[in-house]
Amino acid sequence: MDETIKRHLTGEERGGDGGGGSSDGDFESSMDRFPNHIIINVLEKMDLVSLCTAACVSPTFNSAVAYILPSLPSFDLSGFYLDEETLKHVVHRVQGAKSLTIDCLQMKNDSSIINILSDHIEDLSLLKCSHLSYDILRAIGERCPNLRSLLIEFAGLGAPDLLRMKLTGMLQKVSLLESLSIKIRGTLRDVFDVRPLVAFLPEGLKKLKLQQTGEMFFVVWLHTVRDIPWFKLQSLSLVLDVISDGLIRTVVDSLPLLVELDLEDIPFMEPSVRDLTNIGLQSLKYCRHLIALSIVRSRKNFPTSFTRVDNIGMFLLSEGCRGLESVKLGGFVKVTEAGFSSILYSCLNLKKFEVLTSPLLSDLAFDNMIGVARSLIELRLVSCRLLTSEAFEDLSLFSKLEVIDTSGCRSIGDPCLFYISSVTTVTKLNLAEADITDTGLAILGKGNLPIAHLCIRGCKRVTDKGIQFLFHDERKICKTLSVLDVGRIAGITDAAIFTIASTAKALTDLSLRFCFHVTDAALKMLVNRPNNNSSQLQRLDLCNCRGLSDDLIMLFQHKSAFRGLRWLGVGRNPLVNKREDFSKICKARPWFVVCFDDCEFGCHDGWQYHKSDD
Amino acid sequence: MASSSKTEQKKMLILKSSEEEEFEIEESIAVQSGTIKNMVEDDFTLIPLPNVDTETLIKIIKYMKKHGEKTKSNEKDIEEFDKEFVKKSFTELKELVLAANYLHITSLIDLLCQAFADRIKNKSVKAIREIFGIPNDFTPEEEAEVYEQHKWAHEEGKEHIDHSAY
Repeated sequence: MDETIKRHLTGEERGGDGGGGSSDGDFESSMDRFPNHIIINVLEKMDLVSLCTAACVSPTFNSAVAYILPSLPSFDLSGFYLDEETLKHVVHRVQGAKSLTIDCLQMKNDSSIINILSDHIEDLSLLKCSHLSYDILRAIGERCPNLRSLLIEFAGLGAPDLLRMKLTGMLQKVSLLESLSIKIRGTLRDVFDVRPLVAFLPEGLKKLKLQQTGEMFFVVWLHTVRDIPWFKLQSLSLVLDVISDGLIRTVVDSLPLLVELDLEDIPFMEPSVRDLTNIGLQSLKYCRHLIALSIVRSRKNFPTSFTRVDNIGMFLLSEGCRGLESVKLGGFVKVTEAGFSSILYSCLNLKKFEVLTSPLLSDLAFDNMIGVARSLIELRLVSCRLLTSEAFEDLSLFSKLEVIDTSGCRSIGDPCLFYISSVTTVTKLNLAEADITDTGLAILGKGNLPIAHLCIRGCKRVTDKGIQFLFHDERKICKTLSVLDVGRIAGITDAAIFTIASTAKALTDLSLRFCFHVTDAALKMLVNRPNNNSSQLQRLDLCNCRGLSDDLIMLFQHKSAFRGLRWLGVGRNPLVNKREDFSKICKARPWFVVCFDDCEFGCHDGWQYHKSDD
Repeated sequence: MASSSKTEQKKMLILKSSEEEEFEIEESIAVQSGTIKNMVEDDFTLIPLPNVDTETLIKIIKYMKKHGEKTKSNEKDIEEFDKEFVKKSFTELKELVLAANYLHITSLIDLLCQAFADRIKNKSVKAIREIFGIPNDFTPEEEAEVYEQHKWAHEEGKEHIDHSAY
């Protein structure tokens, strides 16, 4: 490898020998020049953005980066919203890359993606393809015959026949496919027809994820694959119209080797005969290898839930599936703490536990945690209105807990933060809508937890003081916090932003949604963060910040302001009137996206509606 | 024949730093260094290391001793040691990596390089230059080109940031 480096560097080296550090003891004695293979060793351990920074350091570093870029195992550009030109140029530098993840928010037509497809690609993820057509599938089939894994998200085009045709075409060409994930969002009923998957089933398919499909179609498909001896699906994830006992029984029958099962339904009406009952949950025990289970009923189209499952169903589930390591249950409104705690007691290897919308889940479920799995890493209890702070009393017993999410649990107050502050491993904390106050934040601050993601959206009683208490200098959180959401808090004013701007050194994502009292002065403070020891702000959400004025546009027009900003949300904000000015700015910085609607960070919730753009 | 109850005599080596200070160390531990291993094969027992100063040598010996007693059971212990080991200043780490490089101790080189990677992760171009002591030897044209190429990632790289408006 030393030879290659020397070849790279001839003609570019300037003054001073790079040194070789080779084994015959050729040692570079001058302390201001590192041997090149040490530099390469360091660079190989860095992420893409840091590599780009390093390339600008010197010709030596530039060559070293160029040398290692093509051999990096994967390229994850999902945090970037690149335009077609920049994407082409970036992918060109990493020719031969096997794994690509691309955020297609700014891709206006199919050709922008087709041009970067190559036969090296084995793993391809195309996110947020709001402007792409189903024809992309044909192109992928033709250009990426070695594809092992495909993930693609479409904005629904309402043309299921076209999808079927293109998908069929693709499946005929990608015989090595092991993982297929197709998500279609944004139309009311974009029902995915699985028939192509019957005729052209890739032999090695292990993982299948479809959004959304019809339960009846899918049951028919399952009956067909049951007779295929070599088909060994291990992971199934579906979004459908209704989850029924029949579906679950057929899944269990046809896919006995299933390791992961993830089902979500979005019914249009109250399910009648075909619905999930205790019997369906009981039949899951025949999937003997099941490790991850998720069953969720969404109320997006109709206010309904799993009314025919009660505690007995949960007892049967916990008894039959003791090996579960990840459990997510949503919409089980008749299950009480007895049912949920049976899972906690029974699954001794449980790492992730999530319960959504359970009005009967009370503190008692967590009453005696001493016997419970110590392996829990993620705990999410969302919109469970009976839960109070007392549920978290034994939280310190969980020595590996990293994620705590209590969003929507409005009866949780300051005492909860006292318990959480003793869990030293927590890195992601979501307390949206909790009834916490500044005192609570002070308690949390004293715990000195290394929090990286913090959301206190809608915690109405918090004020600037609370933020001050939390970000006391020298606390770990100042160095670790990268994502902060203080949206919908009337008590947040410029003073809080001043604290955040001066102490949160690693902040990359900041949401000030619906913070009415934040003014232009706050934004000026954010701009002036010294960049030498602070990170660059990448995503900023100012949706409905009524206290801002459209004079702010002048701030964004400075070339040095908000360098590194990738996404800005200005929906319902006076800046909405400045589309033309923003247009000019985005022309000069094509990797910068401004969202004039109400989307959250990166438009991850609303990209499918961005079809007609500025 | 009664075997001796004591362990067999371990072969000791002497390492001499650039400042002429001598340190005794078991051969079985010292050969984690490729350079020392080579010299041992040429029958050296006193190993002069004119490129490694005393302070650095002491730290390296500490590292080798800890990693010399690696077994299945104390993996976590060694992880903790490694974590603490890299909590040093940049200057100290630089001396260590250059010494580890000279001594050819692969695991230590990797550990130190990872520590560097973690530390320069979010730093600016200027800061990286200072840390590694690398002068900015781009020509203005080269620098502009490299900056253009990478603007999308972080938008900094030039020494002088353009403050004009669009």
